[in-house]
Amino acid sequence: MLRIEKLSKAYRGGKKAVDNLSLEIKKGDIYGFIGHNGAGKTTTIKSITGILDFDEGDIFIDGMSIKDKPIECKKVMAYIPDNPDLYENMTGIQYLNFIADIFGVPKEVRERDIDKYSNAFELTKNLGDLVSSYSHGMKQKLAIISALIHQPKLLILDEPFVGLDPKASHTLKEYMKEMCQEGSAIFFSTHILEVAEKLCNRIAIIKAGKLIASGETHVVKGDSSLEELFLEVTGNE
Amino acid sequence: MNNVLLLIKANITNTLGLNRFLKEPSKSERTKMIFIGLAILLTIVVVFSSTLAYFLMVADVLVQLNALPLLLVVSFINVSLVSLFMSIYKASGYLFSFKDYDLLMSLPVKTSEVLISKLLQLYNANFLVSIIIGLPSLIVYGIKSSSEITYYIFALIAMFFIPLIPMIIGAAFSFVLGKVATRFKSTNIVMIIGTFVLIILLMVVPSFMNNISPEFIQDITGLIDTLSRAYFSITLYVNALVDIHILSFIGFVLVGMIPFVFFVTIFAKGFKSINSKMNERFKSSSYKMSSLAVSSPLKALYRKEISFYFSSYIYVVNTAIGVIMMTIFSVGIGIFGGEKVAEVLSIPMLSQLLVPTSIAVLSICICLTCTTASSVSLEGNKLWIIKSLPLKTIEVMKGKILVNLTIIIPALILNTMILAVSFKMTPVLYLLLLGITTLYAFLISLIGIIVNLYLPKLEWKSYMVVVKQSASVIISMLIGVILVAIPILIYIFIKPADFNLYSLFVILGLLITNLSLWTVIKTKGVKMFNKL
Repeated sequence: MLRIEKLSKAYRGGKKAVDNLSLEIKKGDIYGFIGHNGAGKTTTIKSITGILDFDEGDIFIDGMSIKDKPIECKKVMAYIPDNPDLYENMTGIQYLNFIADIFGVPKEVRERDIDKYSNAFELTKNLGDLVSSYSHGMKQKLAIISALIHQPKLLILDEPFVGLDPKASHTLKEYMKEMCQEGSAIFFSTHILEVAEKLCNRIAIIKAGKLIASGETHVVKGDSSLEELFLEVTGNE
Repeated sequence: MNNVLLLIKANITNTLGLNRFLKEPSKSERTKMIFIGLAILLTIVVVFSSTLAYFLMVADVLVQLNALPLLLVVSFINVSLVSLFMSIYKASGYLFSFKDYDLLMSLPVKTSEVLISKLLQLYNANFLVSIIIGLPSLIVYGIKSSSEITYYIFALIAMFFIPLIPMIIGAAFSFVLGKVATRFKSTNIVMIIGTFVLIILLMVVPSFMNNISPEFIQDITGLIDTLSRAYFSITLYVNALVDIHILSFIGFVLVGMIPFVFFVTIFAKGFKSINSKMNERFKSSSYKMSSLAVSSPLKALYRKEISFYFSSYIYVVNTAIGVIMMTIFSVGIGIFGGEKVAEVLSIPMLSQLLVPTSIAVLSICICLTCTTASSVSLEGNKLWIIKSLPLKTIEVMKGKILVNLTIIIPALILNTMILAVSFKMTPVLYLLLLGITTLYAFLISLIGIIVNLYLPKLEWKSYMVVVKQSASVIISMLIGVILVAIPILIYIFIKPADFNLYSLFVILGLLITNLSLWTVIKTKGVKMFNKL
């Protein structure tokens, strides 16, 4: 579903944020992407989602290159950023309807799914209010609902559990599992190693833009905990 | 360091972008910044020298009429009116709903200190314009009256105090308006309408006052007395500079300072409550799912853009001013006739030039209405949404262009119809008027997008920085005005016998320019947007 081939991205000034990174995420995978602050996780994610251009390598989504067919790639993908800056002058329902319009979600489907997901995340009664009146967690929930209503084949999340209340975190995890059972793939970055350990069937660890470990979670971590492994491979910094 | 000074220092560091310049690793970016800086400096120098040259000519006439001190009055009134206009126009943006409100109010700083720092920020924004407008006539007075160094010292110090009272009046208007607006659900709409009413009053009322007659000029004492009755500060100012009267000078400074101190003392109490209420959002938390309207991606983008436009007070007030000016002009002609409006605006509008002049005025007003020049920058930290969605970049551009056309075209149709009826235009002439002005509406919309793509400013804390102060907005308007000036200058030089034929050529030229710019947007523009 997602194939990253020798991805490199340098920022102005020459520092490489991502250096020759290759990964493959298959249908049904929940893939955790772990690394220090500034390790290159968000740059990788923004390159996958077509937000950032990259210098070398390529990224394939459902077999299509994000460079050659960006629109087709984005149609099958959804992205939830770590700090959802949404259109604050819109109401929640206007924002969801805007996203549904862009993805061409049929009227009945969008009404059904917005109702379903906003009830699940307990946001329905707030959908008529301006996004600017939302708390961080509510914005996060709105971003999640907007990502789910067009039923993406690939869901990319950057630190999805930061700011969510325990119930919303649980609901999100349930939906992530449900999506993967239905054949979608999920790729997300996190600092919460316990979540990655329990939720992900595969993980990758990145350090200074380079991939230092990847594979099935139980194989990568072996007998140690993910926290121990992470501290060991990242040099206990 | 004093808290106010610390806050001002932080404001200056934030707004001037000096750190960005010093830390910018890319040489081309630094060159671009230097180029913009030089262009702004050059504009200032050109405007300053032209004003100086103009006042040197005026001074010769005034010397003959023995009314040289009138230069001081002119300088004072010009600076005061511009400061008042700019303060009404800008005060709300500086005093309410500013981005660092939460940060500043959480610091151990008095509310009055925050208010003073915001007022001084507003003062700084007005001061440069005050100098460009006020200083030339002061210098000319000094030269023509062979004044000594004390005059120049007094004049320079006085320059700092002239904008104070108009600024306080503008800020007080904003506070009253802010207080009223917080009582309504749609605070923004009340603020937008209130500000436009004030601006229209400020533009229209002085224009229709009686012009100063030559006899009146000759009686300079009478003139100053009359003005002083309306604005006491003028007497002190003129006495201080003409007679180098130290007590009048001190009096003038105090008259400027006392209202400032009063204002800060009184409004510091309401500053927090008004800002708190303005930052509150209407929240009902009672939404129930209902039927949803389905739109095409372009329509959805357009609705997103237009709802953002009308939700931002600063965006509307700064971009719709051209449309307001255009409407005042047309309605003025409709009510008073072309000759009277031409007289009031000092436009050399002879009867045979009524239509060409109106086309020029409308076109200039249109070129001052450019929402697109900041529309890319305004995406700011929300750019990720559009970039991660399956959208063709050109659709995004179309959405932004359509907003500008929505602001201009309906008003343009209304205004051209008023002019057509007032001037009893033939259908052909009306179509030419509508054609030229409509093409200028497209032109400025396209120019705005292109310039903004070349000069994007995506990292900002307040809309104001992008909408008012960004290079993209200034340069777009400048290019627009130059493109209006070109056919006007050609018209003046070649004096075409057939105006209709000349207009057809202008339409053709505008069509070609518009198509070329659209091609640039579709090719290079799309690539530039994708690289943001």
